[in-house]
Amino acid sequence: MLRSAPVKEPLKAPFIFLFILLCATLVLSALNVLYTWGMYDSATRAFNPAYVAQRIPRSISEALIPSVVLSIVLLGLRMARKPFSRFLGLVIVLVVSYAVLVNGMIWIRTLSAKSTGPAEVPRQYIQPSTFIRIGDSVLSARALTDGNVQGILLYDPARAENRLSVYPAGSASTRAGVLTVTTLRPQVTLSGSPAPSWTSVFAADRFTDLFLRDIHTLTADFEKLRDGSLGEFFAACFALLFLCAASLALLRLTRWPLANIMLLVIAVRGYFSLYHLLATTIAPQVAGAVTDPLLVRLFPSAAFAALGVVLILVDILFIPADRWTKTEAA
Amino acid sequence: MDEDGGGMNRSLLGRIASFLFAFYALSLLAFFSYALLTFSATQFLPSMRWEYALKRGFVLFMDYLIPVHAAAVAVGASLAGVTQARRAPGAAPEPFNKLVSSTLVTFLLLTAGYSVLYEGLYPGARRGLSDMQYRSSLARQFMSQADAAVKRGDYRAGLDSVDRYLAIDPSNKAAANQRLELVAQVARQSAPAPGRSVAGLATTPPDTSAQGLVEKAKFYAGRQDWFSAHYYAQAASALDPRRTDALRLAAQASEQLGAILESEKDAKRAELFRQKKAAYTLLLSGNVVAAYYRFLELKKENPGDSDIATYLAVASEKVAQSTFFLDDARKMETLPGTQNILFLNGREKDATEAVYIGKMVEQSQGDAYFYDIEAVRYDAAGAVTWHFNAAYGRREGDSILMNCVDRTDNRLRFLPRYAQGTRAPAEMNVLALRPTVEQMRSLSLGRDALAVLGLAELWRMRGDLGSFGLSREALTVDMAMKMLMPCVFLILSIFALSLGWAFRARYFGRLSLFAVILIPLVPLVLSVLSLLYVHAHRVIIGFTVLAFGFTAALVVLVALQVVLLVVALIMLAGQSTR
Repeated sequence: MLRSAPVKEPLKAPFIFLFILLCATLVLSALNVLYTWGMYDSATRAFNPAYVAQRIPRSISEALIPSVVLSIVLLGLRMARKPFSRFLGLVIVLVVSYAVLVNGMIWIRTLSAKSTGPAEVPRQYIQPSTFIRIGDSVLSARALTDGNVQGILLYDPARAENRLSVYPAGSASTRAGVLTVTTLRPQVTLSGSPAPSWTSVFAADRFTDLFLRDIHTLTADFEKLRDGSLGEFFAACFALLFLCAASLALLRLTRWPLANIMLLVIAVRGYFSLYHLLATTIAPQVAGAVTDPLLVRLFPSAAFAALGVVLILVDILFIPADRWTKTEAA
Repeated sequence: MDEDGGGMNRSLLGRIASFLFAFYALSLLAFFSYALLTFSATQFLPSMRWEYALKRGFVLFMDYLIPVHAAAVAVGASLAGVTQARRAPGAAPEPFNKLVSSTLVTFLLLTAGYSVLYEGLYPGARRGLSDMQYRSSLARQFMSQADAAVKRGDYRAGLDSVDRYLAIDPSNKAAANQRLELVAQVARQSAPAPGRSVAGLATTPPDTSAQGLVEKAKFYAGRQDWFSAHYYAQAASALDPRRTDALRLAAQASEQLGAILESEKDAKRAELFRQKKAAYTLLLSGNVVAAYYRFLELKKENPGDSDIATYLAVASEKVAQSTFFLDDARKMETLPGTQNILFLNGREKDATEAVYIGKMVEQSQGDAYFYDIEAVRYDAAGAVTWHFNAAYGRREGDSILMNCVDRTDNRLRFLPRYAQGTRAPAEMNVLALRPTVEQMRSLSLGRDALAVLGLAELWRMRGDLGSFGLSREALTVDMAMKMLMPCVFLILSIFALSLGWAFRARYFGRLSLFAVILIPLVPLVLSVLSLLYVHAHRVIIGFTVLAFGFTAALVVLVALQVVLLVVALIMLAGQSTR
């Protein structure tokens, strides 16, 4: 009787990675489609297979980076339970994830170019005879047709008396999540982000909201780099994946696996915030001091690569390569 | 084997239970300390510090109970093998199902406990925090009113404001001292000024000789000032009892006074009868408030008059039906209630009514007092039909009555002030309300208006709240999320158990200091993950509600939970004891 030889773990790892990535991308893209339709398109378009087919490439594009990072972490968990050479692991993770991310983002660009982004319309915020909060004020309208609002009721808490005001008509527009309503006779403009935590169906708690914001910054920057210069895009992808792959060293940091996993997860969550901080706060300051735009564009990625190198050095110098095999043997 | 299994089982459960207890206690303590440290003396009265810390600490504890619980389970399971004796070489490992069976039962019990806390105590604690904030701002308002009144020398108004402040903050010693000072000031202010006596008579006769007094008595008798004549004659008789002339003069003056008093009594009776008739006419004509005040004044002057007492009671009853008393409203104002209520009070084809209420204090049997009321009605073209503000209101049946009167001072009356338009006289002081008191609780602009409602309340009101201006979809999703939380608690418990067991610490003999330092990381990371897990559910439920409605969302919710529970149990069953 023939017995199948057990496949070695390093050979399995790329396939496991791809399987995890497929599942993660599927779940995250599906959630993205549902969210986008509900949040932006439900007022104007029906949810049907045509909508999904049209939207899914864009959703995959938005979900690809978090999916790849999540897959690296999950593969890391398996590698913690079934360890093999750390450098081989690093190389496998880096090569496979890099190939998937770079190719995925380039190929998905062609498909997602055909799909239009979610149309931002006032209707997604203003429902007839429903209150919405904009800043401290509250607004309700009797009817809304193509940006024209009728029967506007405004509640202004700053007034001591006559807080309720009624305006016969006005106009409404949205841009980058900011809703602006301008009334006629007299002309009053109310502008601000509609408070999501009060009436929105998809309101995220503040921690999740920050996480989603960080992911959006990272994805948007990578798409810009991809559309601007492939060389810069390749470098940025490498820096991100190098840092994530190097972070797998955290899984061997202590002799308590659960604590190592927690360290890895918190580190990866921190990378997203760090990128947002570098891209939105520090990069503009660097731009003021440095004249080279390339340096400014790749500044967050350079910082990631440097951090990755530090982690590799820590791994080589301080973390035993054979922690698990040694302890298992002991 | 069974005994061993039982021992291991108890060991896992025991370890998890001890970590659960420690995590619950430490997190409660941490949230309580955090609430105490972040207590804002500008938002709340300093005397509310401990009450705030308790309520806020509990609310935070409930907000983060799921990650704290999951962390305790994961850490407990992960460290379950640390202190256990090693298995004998060659001995078969215990089946994992034997290890976790009682742990799963414990999870079910804890889920039931979580549901009770989440539905029972949590909404009340959140409502309590909101009440405390409102009462603090109200107390500060009273204190500044008191200061302003004292500055302008109106000590009575100042005392009234301080009394209202003390109703909210009775332990404030400074306010209590201020009250004592104001009581003294009010007493001084209301003491009668020394004035001249009747008919020009001095308080004490300047001439103290009996002869002099008799002569004065005769003098006043000659002028037919019988009060003065009687007074001086009495004084002379008191000074010298042998003076019979003084006694005679006093008797004569008394006789004359009696005759006068008798004739004055008849005139008074006639006047009283005329006043009673006038008040009675007011009562009959429907002007009950004026009639009430007339009868009240008459009662003060004629406390024993049975007619006045009878008709005052009738007027009082009628006043209570069409008005309410200011002191009752003010007494209720300091009690906890719902603030900043905004709703559409019905939307007809050609008109919309919007109502804002600053505060609502509920009474038994569905009645309530309202403060700072504003309402506007406008037509389809946006033209305002009427718009008014009213300081006080009381719920009467399905309406707000806004005719507030003082119990004793007929000049003090609060009615709606119309900024635009007007209404029929019969409707001027009344506004028909569509939402019930219970529904109005959820119409508050407070960010946690829906969070303070239990699932049962939301379920009961879900059909109506949308018509008052709340987003029906958001309401439905909130309700579905409330239903979801116990499932999240149970399923994440099982996932955490799998995670902890799969990555249990097998390679060190005891819990090191480094591991202890790392333990707080676990709830932190699991918070991030559990919040993402909950948000993913929100997206799915939100989509289903928008696309297919509430029933479909419920079906999807149940199906999803069943799938996730099965996945969690499969993951748990896949764990090895090797």
